[in-house]
Amino acid sequence: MKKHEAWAYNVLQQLAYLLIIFVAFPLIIWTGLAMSPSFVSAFPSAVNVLGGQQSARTLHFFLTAALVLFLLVHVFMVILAGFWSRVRAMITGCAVRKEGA
Amino acid sequence: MSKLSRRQLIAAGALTAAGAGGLAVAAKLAHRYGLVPPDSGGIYGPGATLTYAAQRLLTRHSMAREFSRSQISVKPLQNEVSPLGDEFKQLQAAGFADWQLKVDGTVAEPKTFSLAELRSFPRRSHITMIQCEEGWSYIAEWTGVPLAHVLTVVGAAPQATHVVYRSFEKEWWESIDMADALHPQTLLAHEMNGGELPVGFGGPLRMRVTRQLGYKSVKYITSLTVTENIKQFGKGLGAASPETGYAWFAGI
Repeated sequence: MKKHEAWAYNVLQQLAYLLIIFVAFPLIIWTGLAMSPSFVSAFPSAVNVLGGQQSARTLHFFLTAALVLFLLVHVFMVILAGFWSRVRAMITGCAVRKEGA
Repeated sequence: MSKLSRRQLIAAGALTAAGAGGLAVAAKLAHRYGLVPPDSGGIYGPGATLTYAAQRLLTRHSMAREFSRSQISVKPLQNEVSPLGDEFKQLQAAGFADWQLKVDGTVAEPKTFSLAELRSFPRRSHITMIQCEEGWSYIAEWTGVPLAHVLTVVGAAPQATHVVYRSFEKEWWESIDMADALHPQTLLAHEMNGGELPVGFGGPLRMRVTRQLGYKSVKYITSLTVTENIKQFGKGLGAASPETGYAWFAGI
């Protein structure tokens, strides 16, 4: 199947997803664990590397804000691009093309 | 989209059945090995159970980080408490000479200790961080008698699973499992930063559970009950805090 230009992601989009999946999500899990007194008792370096429990907490907050913003922007874009066709594409994994597209 | 083939359908069904069976076996094992917290019901129950079981399997014997003297917080936050009333003021005026700690439950010999007796017991100090659910934290040096020592003195039964502790503030009671009760850092603290434990920080006697959030370190301890059936206390959630939405296990 030939890839249509409209269905491919550009470099910035790819970078954004790369950052969210491989940087933001692992970091938010890590900073979350760094706030757990039990986890930190077993793995103290997990919080020391981050500069202490309060630094972990600050990072966790900013990451939360970033992820929520990412989500809101995407919901907004889905609405702009046609809510039902996009949601259907998300669930079924394939996009329905309009005639002549 | 390709249609779901019969083979895929059978495989998905088998996987679902295996998953459900696995969950049932896991639940049984968790109950047998005491990996289920008392507040395992409700919508947050599965999450609370998973957290508690994982922490008990991975970090049962871990020690909370201890800090150096220079890292002690200059201005620790004295979390506000409601007024303690006239009875407490009278005890305070007498230098807490009449303060008593009652220990009962599944023990060889129920006992009542005075503050002087507790101070004469072997003591341990550690410089650790107390961390609140609300986000604030401070580092202080705590000194007290290890709870494990008090449990030995009264002869706690080997089949005991939890220790319940109550505050002078009647509505405030908590419990911990034996992993924390026998943990060497768990103290009945009577000193802070080298001086007498101030009333604002829980003096004369405060439970100090180092591997859990601050609300497990209950202030003004007046009694302990060793038990093998934690469900019989209060609403059966193991402490007062889960009744208002907090997790019983605060090791998170």
